[in-house]
This record gives sequence, C-alpha cells and structure tokens, in this order.
Amino acid sequence: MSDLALEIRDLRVAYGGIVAVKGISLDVGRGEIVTLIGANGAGKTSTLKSIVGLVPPISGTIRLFGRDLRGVPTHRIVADGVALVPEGRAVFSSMSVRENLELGSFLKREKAGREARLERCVRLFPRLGERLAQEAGTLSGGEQQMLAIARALMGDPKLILLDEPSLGLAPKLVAQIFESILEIAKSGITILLVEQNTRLALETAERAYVLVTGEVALQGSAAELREDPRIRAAYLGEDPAA
Amino acid sequence: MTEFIQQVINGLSLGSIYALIALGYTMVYGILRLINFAHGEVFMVGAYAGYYAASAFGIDAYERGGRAFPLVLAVAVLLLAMAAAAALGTTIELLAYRPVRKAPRLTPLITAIGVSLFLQNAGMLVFGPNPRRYPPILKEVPFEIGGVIVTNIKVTIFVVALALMTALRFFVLGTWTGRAMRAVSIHPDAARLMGIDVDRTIRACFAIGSALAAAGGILFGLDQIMINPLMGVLTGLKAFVAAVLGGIGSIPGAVLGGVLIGLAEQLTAGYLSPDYRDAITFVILILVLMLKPEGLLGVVKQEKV
Ligand SMILES: Nc1ncnc2c1ncn2[C@@H]1O[C@H](COP(=O)(O)OP(=O)(O)O)[C@@H](O)[C@H]1O
Ligand SMILES: [Mg+2]
Repeated sequence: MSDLALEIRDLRVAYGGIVAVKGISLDVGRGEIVTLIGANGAGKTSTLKSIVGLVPPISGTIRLFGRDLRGVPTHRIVADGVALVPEGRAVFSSMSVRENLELGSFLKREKAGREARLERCVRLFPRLGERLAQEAGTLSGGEQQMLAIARALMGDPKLILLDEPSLGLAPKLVAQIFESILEIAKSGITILLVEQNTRLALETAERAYVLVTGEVALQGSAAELREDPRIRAAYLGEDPAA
Repeated sequence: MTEFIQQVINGLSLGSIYALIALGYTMVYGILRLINFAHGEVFMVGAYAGYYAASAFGIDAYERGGRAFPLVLAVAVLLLAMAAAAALGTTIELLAYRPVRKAPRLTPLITAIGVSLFLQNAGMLVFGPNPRRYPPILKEVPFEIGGVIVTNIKVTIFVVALALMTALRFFVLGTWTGRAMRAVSIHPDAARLMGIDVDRTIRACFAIGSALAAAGGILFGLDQIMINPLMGVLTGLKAFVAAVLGGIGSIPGAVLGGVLIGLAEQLTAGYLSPDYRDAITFVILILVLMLKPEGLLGVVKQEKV
C-alpha cells in the first residue's frame, strides 16, 4: 500500500485549445494537510476537477491511494474515498439541509454509520443542526460552505479536496471554517486545500505548492514558504523589510 | 348539472391518461433539459405491446366465449407493456440521446424529432397502418349514480393512474434512486461528487417515464377503443402541453397539467363543440407561453452562484 494519498505526475488539463494546467506534479501523503495556492486563473480548480474526473486530463497520471485513475468515472473515484468540496459550494439548493447531507452518504447508506456521521457533522457545525429542515438555497454563504463540507464528510472520505472554502466569507466565518478544517484533519482525514487566502492557507497546511499560470512555481514546507521573500511580496502583501 | 358532472368525470379520466404521459416528458426534461419528442411514440408502442400481450393471453377466446378476461391477466398485460416500453425508452436513450448529450441543445432536440418520425414509420410497418380495435381487457359495465352514468372503465383509468402516480411519488421522495434523480436534475456535477452514477440515473428516468406512458397507452386503448401507429402524435403533444402548463420539470405540475387539459378538452367538446376539442389544448399552450411561461407549479430558474 502506497503511503501517498494522492500522487500527480505531469498533469496537463486543457479546455479546447487553452491549456490551464501545464504539467504539474504534486504529492499528498496520508494524513497530511497540503495546500495549493495561486492567483485567480492559475489552474487550481482545474487540478481538483481532474483529480475527481470532472475534467479529463490530456496527459499525465493521477494516483489515488496507489490506484491509477485514468478513465475512471467520477462516481467510482468518489467510491475510492475522495470528496471534493467544490468552489461555489454546489449545494442542492431546492433540497433541505438534511437531504443534502443524506445525499453525501449515497455510497455509505448503512443507517447506523450514516446517523453517527450526521451527529458528528452537527457537532462540527451546530448551525447546520439548527437548520436541518431548511432549504439549502436559503442558507447564507457561510452556512452553505459548512453544508458543502459536512456533505463531503457524510461520505466518510479518506481524502478531502477543498476548493477555496474562504471565498466570499466574512473573516469571522473564515476563521470558523478553518478551525473545522483543522479538526477534520485531526480525525485522520487527509486534506488538499486550494486557497487564494495565502496567509491562512500557509498557517493551516504543513506543505504547500504555489501555482502560477498552470505551473508549480514554488513548493516546500508551509513554514519555509511563509518566510520566503517572494511569497511575502507577491501573496502576503508584505513589505519585505517589515 | 348532471351533464356537467358527466363531463367532469370523463375529463378526469382522460386527464389522468394525459398526466401519466406528461410525467415522462417532465422527468426527462428535468434531468436532461431535453424535450423527448419520441415519448408520444413510446406511449403508442406501449398501447400495442398491451394489444399483443392480450392476444397472446388468448383474449379472443375469452371474448368469443363471452367470458371476462381474468383480472390477473389484465394486470400481467399492463406490466408486460410497461416493461416493453421501459426497454424501448432506455434503448432510445442509449442509442440516440446519449451520443449527443454534450452537443449543443439543438442537436438532441432534432435527434428526438428524428426518433419520433422513425418510430411512427416503424409502427406503420410493424403494426400495419390501419387502426385496430383494442381488446376488451376490461369488460365495460356502466352504472348510474344520481343520474350520472359512469363506467367501470372510467373509474379504473382514474384509479390505476392515481395508484401509479402515488407509487412514483414514493419512489422519487423515498428511494435512493429517486433522490439521485432529483440531485442530478438540480446539479449534475455535484451529484457525481456524491458518487451518483449519472448515466444509470438518466436510464432509470427514461425507464420509469416510458413505463408510465405505456400504462397511459393501455388506458387510452380501453377508453378510446381504437389505436393506430400515429396515435402518439396528437396525444403526445397534448401531454407535452400538459407538462408545460404544469411547469415542465415539475412532477406535481405534470399531474395537475394533465388533469386540467383533460377537463378543458372534455368541457370544450361538451359545451362548445366537439370540433374544438383538440384546438383548446393549443389555445392553452399559447396562453401559458404568453402569461406564465414557467407553468403553474414550475419555478423560475434561479441559479445561485
Ligand atoms: N470550463 C472552462 N472552459 C474554458 N476555460 C476554462 C474553463 N474553466 C477554467 N478555464 C480556464 O482555465 C484557467 C484556469 O482556471 P481555474 O482552474 O478555474 O483556475 P483557478 O481555480 O486557479 O482560479 C483559466 O484561464 C480559466 O479561464
Ligand atoms: Mg478556482
């Protein structure tokens, strides 16, 4: 058994003629929190979508827990223990919060396990517990983000891919979401976190990859990258002298 | 007054047939955003499948001997026709629609029209172009309640349709496949991320919609006595209008639309002129498109980003 949860080699993703991801390689070890940061349009979402098979790569290999994912449809990839919390949440807006969560357990229907996970999600996000009967489309942005994360947890994944969970949220909510991400990691779930909020991402993750126009420009431990002057100038908006 | 009640009863029974067919239009539209123009032909093939199943069970002999066709065999005819239509519907999906699913929207629409024309002509070739008398799967027994004449056939149509629609409701709200259908219709990619096999879910949708249309076909045959290979054209169109009236994509809307179209048709035939019975459907279509294009129970599409 491979000790890597995810192993990406020379991944290329294109839309028509536009190459969005230009041959990146990336590893996520079991139990790690890794972050993939980069500006808007750098190719972060495309990378995550190709991992779960929503966008087929034009070349390169993706291994999930040692298994090559080439040509495997999304529902099978998900069955192997990965969950994507998509950019923009993508909750089932006309369904209730409870129905959204139950759909998260589509492949893990056994009732006792489902109920135990629901209880855990409600403990993690008490605001969802108060709104189980509410239509998901009427939740606030932050609550929808919580729901999207909880829905992913309902499938009992071993690896969670999070696409910009802080996007469009007030700072207080962002802090709350990131606390829960750390808690999820503590429970043994591997995390690949995509963020534009570089500071927070580097504080949360152990290792980081910096994506610039479809290529990995920098990689290393989060602590190292936090001190890297290039990162400080370009992403943390800091005066290098400060 | 009794005249009015009479018309309403006939309208309800006709409307429940439209409702059964409208469900297939609305389910497929909900999940693929495709108007399945071949659905009227699935209804027609369902009616013929019932015809041949009844013959195979020796309905002629029962009729010659003056004996009623046994109820278990009538139920078997219904189930066989539903299974045959489900097989046809899923085959159409697999061979005609799946290859063009990612093409621009006009392509599947034209494909659907092509499949519809193909099946009309195949129907004339295989079943013969002449109308056929539908076998008396149920022997007609009229009875009178307060001056209103009701037949057991009208009641059966209403009861069978209601039972199937109730079953559909439980299926869609209470089973994992039903939930998957709703999830795919709301957000296909998010549904995939839940581990839902979208292809399989679409196939289930076609199977169920087609089976309901076949039930509609048999009830239509019982009610109207005659069937022909082009019967799906007008009736399919009316059921489609019913789906639009109710709000295409909405399951309760299809039921409501079907009943309303049936009532409108019957009341127009009874009080205005039988000549207008088909025209009224299209008057309704024009009014809906002008006044409430999302339909009675449809929701205005609002994508939350
Ligand atoms: N569906 C698409 N069709 C065409 N181009 C796309 C599509 N999705 C993304 N792109 C392009 O691919 C590049 C990378 O996008 P994306 O992966 O969304 O970046 P990020 O998530 O880092 O902002 C961008 O130039 C974007 O315009
Ligand atoms: Mg993105």
